[in-house]
Amino acid sequence: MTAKLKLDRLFEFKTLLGIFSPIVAVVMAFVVGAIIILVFIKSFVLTESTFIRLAEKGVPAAVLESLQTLKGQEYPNRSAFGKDVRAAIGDQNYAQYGSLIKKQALIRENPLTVYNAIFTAALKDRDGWGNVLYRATPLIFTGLAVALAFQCGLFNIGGEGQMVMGGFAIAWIGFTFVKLPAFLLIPLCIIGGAVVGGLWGGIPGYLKARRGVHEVVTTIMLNWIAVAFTQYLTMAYKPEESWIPHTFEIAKSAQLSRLAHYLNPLGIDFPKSNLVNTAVFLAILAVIFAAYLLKRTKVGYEIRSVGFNPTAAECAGINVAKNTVLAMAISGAMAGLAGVNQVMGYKHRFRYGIFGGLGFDGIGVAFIGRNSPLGVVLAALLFGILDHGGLAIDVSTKVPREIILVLKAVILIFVVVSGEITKRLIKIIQKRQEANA
Amino acid sequence: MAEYAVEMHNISKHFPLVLANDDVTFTVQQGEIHALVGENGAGKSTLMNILYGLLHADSGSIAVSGKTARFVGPGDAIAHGIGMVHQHFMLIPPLTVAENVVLGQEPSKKGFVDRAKANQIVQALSDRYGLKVDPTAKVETLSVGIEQRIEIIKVLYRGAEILILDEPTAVLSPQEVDELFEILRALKDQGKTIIFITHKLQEVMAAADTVTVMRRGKVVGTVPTADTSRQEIATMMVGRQVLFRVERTRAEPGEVVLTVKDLSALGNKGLPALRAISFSVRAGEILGIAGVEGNGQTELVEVLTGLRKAQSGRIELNGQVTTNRSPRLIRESGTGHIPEDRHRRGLVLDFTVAQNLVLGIHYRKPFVRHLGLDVINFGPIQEKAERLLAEFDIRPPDQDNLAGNLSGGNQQKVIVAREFDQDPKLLIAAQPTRGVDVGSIEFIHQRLLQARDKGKALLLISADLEEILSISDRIAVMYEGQIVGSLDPVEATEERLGLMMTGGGK
Amino acid sequence: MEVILAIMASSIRFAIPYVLAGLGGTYSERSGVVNIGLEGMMLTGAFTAVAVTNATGSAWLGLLAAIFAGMLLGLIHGVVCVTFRADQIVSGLAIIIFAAGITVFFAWLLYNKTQIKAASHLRVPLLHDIPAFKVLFSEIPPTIFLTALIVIASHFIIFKTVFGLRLRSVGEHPQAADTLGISVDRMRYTGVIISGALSGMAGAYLSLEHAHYFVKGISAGRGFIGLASMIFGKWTPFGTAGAGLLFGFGEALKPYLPKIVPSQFIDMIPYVLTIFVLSSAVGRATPPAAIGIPYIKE
Repeated sequence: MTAKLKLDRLFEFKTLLGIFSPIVAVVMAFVVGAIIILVFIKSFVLTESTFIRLAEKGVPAAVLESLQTLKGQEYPNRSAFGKDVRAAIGDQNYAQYGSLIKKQALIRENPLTVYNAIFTAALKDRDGWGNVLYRATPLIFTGLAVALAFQCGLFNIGGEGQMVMGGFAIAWIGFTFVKLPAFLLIPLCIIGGAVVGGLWGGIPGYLKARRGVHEVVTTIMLNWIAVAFTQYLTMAYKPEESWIPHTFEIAKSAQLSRLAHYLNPLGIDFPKSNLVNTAVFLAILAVIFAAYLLKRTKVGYEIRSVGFNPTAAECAGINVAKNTVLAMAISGAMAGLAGVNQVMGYKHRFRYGIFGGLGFDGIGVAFIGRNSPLGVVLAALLFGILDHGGLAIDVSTKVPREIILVLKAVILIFVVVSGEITKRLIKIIQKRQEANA
Repeated sequence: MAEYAVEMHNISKHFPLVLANDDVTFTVQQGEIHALVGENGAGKSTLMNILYGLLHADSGSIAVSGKTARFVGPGDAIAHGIGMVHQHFMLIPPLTVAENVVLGQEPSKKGFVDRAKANQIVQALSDRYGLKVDPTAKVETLSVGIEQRIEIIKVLYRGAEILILDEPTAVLSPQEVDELFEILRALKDQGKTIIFITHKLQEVMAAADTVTVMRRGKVVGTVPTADTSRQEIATMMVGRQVLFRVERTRAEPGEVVLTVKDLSALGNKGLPALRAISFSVRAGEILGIAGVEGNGQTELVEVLTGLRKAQSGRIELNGQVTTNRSPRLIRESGTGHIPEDRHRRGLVLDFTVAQNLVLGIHYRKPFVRHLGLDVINFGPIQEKAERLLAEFDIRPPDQDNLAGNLSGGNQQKVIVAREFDQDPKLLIAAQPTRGVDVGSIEFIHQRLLQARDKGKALLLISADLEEILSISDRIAVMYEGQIVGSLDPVEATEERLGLMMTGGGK
Repeated sequence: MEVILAIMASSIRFAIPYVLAGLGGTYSERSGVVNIGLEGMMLTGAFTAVAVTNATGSAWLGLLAAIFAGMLLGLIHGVVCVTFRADQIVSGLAIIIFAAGITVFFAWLLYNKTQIKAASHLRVPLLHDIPAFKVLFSEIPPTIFLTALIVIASHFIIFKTVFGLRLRSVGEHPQAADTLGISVDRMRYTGVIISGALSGMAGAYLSLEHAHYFVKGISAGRGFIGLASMIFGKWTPFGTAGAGLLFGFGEALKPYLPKIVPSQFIDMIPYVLTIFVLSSAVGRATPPAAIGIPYIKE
């Protein structure tokens, strides 16, 4: 029985490590972000306390007097500040006290305030949560796309392309079949998005299954083809009078209402401007569907067997080629559904700009979520928090919001590295177990 | 010069599950061609890997040309003039012969590869030893026989005086084998010492001056080939042992279940692996195909199970033609398969035991329900798993345990359980007890016999002679892609079988 | 005639970043490391070039800094992919996202805006003042000579030198190279760092010579066209250069196209061609055999 206990422990350890490593990665990324903030975000201000400190350090009162004119002014960089200080106190004093003044006036941004700003903006109230959900919704779709393909051992980087192709299909159906009532048009749009996304994903799947072409390159290429193609289509379906490169608006019956629309009548206070809409429910359904598909259906079983061991799957009679194409198609369909949020729930039109980057973020989301449906949800929420919270830091701190991109990238790097380290640790533990057995 | 080129004294080497070399003493005279023979697992490759510095012996000593040597790695061995030509070539296909040979020690002018010089050197070596290679040819265009010669040149380029060749003829056609022997003689004439590992006895007799036979980690004997015969060597290789013959009833074979006629197929390198092979298996009998691994058994099983294309010939199962059908179809026609590589082909190690127990039949009722999507029905799977875990004594009896956590023997039992439970008409068992503990071996053999008694046709393919002899009703020997002999177990002696397995012919 | 010359000049100008990035990718992939992060290295190079140029007044220093920045990113990719043997695709992706973030981050910090004019561009000091050369150089940027030199040199380096031979061996059959005493890791690091250097240079050209500006996201997918050039050029310097010129030509043709041919279809050409050349039954482009697979010493 001790053997069983030992095995149990390994099992737990493995899953624990699996959960731990993304968390560790996120924490490490925040540390790196903090270092960047501390090192690079500087400003120079002469406040009351600065004057007091300068006096304590022996700067003569006369000099301080001449500095008063600069009091309270914030300078983003050293040279501008230095120039004005020099102008205010004269060259001689500057030579003597210049560096001391600059040193004392230096303020660095506290990373914790920055992070606090991110999380409070995202989580403090319903509006925040709503926005987080709104931003997480398309990421759930694109993240699931990558995760599902990965279960079959395939690397789908084509989420970006599958998403816009599906998104355009959604828009086209939406502004073409305007006479249909909502209960017909909405499902039609959704199906259209899934089908077109699925086809776009199926192409690399087919090329891999039939010709052995690695899906990484084909999906990247198809991304750009899709971008160009949808750009062309956008112009083809652009309203004549519009300067903006977007298509016609989709029919009202295809538009998804914001959640506020439903929540407010129920007495739940929710700002009308909040973009979260009913697509979030579709995302939840997609997650449940993905989990169900993988764990409880024959298709999921076959896909996973091919992902784990295609040779054994083949030997057992499973059609590896068919499952490859199927996995890529389902994956593409998932990505195609991202358009439900972006087109039907938000812009009500197709415009490339509303999709930018969501496909690539999906890859990050999938990997941080260890390619599991639940993980994808958590990672998507994390990205949603970062995205929405990031807007706030622009306003309330001196840190440019692009730090969020940096954070995402560093999280991604740490996740893959820690993933490797985890795998190796598990191997070492297993070897030791075998030796002891 | 010292009398002995190589002396290895009292070499022992342990691996986790096996004693690969057990107090081995092995000496090679200067300038001779010395063959090292034995079955798979006899310990010959281990011994040579120690000589080449790839492995470290647990105990014992090595001397090269009279001087004691300690090898930390292949670099040391090379420095002592030892070169090894592995069974799996380390050649880079898109590069030329000369580039492959000089890589790592390139003749150069100011950082540029001196192509002309490299070609010249390779050509000179080639001419000197009759190797006949074109230095400017790209390796990917060359046949396996020539690839081997390139490996030899590689080794000579680095100054080898003692050459070790590991199973050099395994991938060669008969003409290429003859050419190789000429080369070996040329090398010997130039003063080189050659050790080659093989299990093919006519080659030993044809090419070697001396032969050392190993069996189960020990040296059985060393004799000049002039003073011995193939039969003697075969006996030494295979050994005289009391075989445990399982108690069983006489078989009563019925209808022919499997017919294989003139089946031909290519191996992975494009060389013929099966050459018009023909045999049949009846219901209620076990046909045991004996043979040293690498003589087409793997390819035979792959063709029979739909994993490899047959070039020509015919397979019939219960009257149905199954040549080149899909693996699923072949399974559905009633074929069960215990693959020789349980990790690669037999199990999905990341799946649970229960999931592995339904692998291959997972799509059938009652394991799925057709609800638009085929939904897995866990109840019947759990029941089946419980039943099979008990019936086949799989330990630990936890169906949710990952298959990768089980021991080799238990993993094999999972596969056996799965295949048996299918109740196939034909069961193909390839190396079914390789790497399996003794208790499980017995268990699996019992089950095989039980299946036979129930009227199943069984095709047993094994490199383990004991296994073949103890449970087969009929024995056939496979050599170089053909059946070279067919015996009743009563008349099968180790000598006869060993001879056939090593090319002795009918 | 005028038009033809203009198109040719345009083609070359467009081609330079594709060729440089593709060449960089060639070094990396020949050694066995997939580098899709070329786009990010290019973007970083573009920004660094402008930042350093504006700070020092010298465009050549900007160029050098850009190369250095690219090398740094290449080093990171190397650490992740070679030492940690982690997933090469995700690492490349992370570099792209990182570059997008860090460039704008510093743009805001240093300039308080994301559109930064380059203070100077590359001038070959003495030659530029000779009237004849001035005309030549104002039409054709000096970087093109550098690029051509690098392409030719790369051909020799990759196919004729000891270094190149070892680089290729490591990408085709690292185990064989290892048994012959070649350090697989060292070769791969070199390949990846070179790819960073060249991509950085491509970026510098983009911001200093092509647009005379750094703009957020200026690389705009050119790194990927570089990848396409590399694949279409079958991982050879001359092939990559040819492919890059071809794609540059397509780009240059756009303003002259009749209304019926949408420019977006020209945009698709590099990618469609790449897919074709990868999947075709005849003349298929095959990457180095060991690419993308981390090398683990047994």
